[in-house]
Amino acid sequence: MESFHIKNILKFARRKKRKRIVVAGNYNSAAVDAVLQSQKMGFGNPIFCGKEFLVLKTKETIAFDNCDAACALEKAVDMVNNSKADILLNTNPLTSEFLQLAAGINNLHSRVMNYINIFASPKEQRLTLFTDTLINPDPEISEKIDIIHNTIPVADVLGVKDPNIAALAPVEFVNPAIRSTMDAAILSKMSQRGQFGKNVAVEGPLAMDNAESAIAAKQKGVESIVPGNVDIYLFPDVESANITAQFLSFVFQVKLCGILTGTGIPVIVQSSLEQNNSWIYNIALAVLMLKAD
Amino acid sequence: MYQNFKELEEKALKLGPKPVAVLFPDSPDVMKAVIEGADKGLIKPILVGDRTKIEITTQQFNIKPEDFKIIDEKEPQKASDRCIDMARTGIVAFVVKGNIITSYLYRSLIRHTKTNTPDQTPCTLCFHQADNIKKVFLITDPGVNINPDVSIKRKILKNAVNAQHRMGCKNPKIMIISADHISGSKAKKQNETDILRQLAKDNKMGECRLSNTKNLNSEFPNHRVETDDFPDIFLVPNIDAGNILVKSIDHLGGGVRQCVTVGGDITVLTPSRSDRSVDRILNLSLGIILSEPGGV
Repeated sequence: MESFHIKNILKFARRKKRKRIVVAGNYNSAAVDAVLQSQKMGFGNPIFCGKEFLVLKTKETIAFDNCDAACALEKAVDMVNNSKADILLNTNPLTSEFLQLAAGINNLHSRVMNYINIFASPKEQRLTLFTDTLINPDPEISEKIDIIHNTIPVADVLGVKDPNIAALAPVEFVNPAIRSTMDAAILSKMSQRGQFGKNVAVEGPLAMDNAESAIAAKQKGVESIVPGNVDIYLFPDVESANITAQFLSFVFQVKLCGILTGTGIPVIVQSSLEQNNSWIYNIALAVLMLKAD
Repeated sequence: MYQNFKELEEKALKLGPKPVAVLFPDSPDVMKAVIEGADKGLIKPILVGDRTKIEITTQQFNIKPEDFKIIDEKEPQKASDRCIDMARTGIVAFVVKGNIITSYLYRSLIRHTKTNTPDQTPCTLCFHQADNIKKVFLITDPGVNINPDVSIKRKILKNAVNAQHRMGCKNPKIMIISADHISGSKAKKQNETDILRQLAKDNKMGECRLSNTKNLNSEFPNHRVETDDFPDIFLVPNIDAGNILVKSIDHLGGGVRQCVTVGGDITVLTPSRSDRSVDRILNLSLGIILSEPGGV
């Protein structure tokens, strides 16, 4: 197993061509500092949008400098839609209104949006993806399928070509009284039939102890390549994902970064699970997600 | 109040040995913990299960089967019922889960609680230790109740508050934790929290206080967790959130997890079947503290 450091994300992004990042929303010094840092590091090219950014002593021109933060966000979306920018960075806390705006960026993408947190697992320094930590309160099976499809490319840009995915549940047995076990079993069967890609393995239901430990899984009769080798944890609902991420971030001080997917083009946001210094990693992730170089 | 499990074990050593029923001790890790627990003076074990399998396991440790009392009961549900009955009648202080699926014990405990203490509900309480937090905190319910409503949540909290009192935490702080997500049924959740807050004020769950926040992001906005402000009890919304969280704390975070299931005034130690003997020894110590009348 290759150990992973979150700084690898910056290293990967530096190999890409610069992307035009349109920054809109309320003035947020941590976000502004990060986007300027991305410029210095060679993968970002900021376009500040709206009068909120007139305070900046920067040589960059401010687009739509008569617009307030809300109006600027709409203008920024237009810029992305019209190919005048590559990525939208929203400095504001994530809201349902913004999600509606982000959903309209590219009509070809009508999939579910989900938020993915990425970190190096504290015990083994393994690259780990958690989803959905923010958006879908109680996803149906069809939404979970979309979430998996959205998340596989994120693992891919981080160097995991055929991810192992644990469909989490409280127990490893299918129990009709617990919906997460039923959903996980269906996803697991779909994976066996190659419906997520020939070499992508979804295993479930798996409790967290069997997902993390091949020995624990074996003791409970689970024979699979996934336990002990999980790249992506698919959580049953946002409560389980977000609360687990809260503990990792706040109690165990794990550095999380994150990306919103399913929007058509990368959108940079930050969740309250992450510390201020995650902005630069979130920007780098979005840059990595752009296919054209 | 204990800062960590080491302190708890030291206290338990002074209180033992306690008579305990060990259900299906026929695995090396379980038997090793039983033998070490007895050697340390923590427990006086009564082994319940298939006598042949138990005797084969004891031979691996060079001890004679007659060193422990064995109750021969091969059928898992009957053996589980027998253990709960021994706890009910005071023959043992608590029950220890061995190499058996937990649902047998849940079933026995649920039946016992319904019959003998219908105002209670069984639930699992997981106690944790984490490097940054200088106290043992508790998360519930990751094991028994799938999607508890507010009346069940009150009963779960009553169990949790009682357990923290026994651990020496006289006025535990409770967080009814939930996701800080974008959309969802916030109104229903707020209503539930308000009801539970009022019940706490009316002393319907024992002496306790509810946090004004519903997640760690709001409690610690600067991202620095302080032990004094850290809740003693976390009530999770459902079994999915609880079970995944408690197992993440040790498997991903590197913390310590020790679980018990309580109900009908009975304590059952419910470690994972994959837990090693060293974890099981800590679990025995927790059982001793929780089964001490009035707590310590």
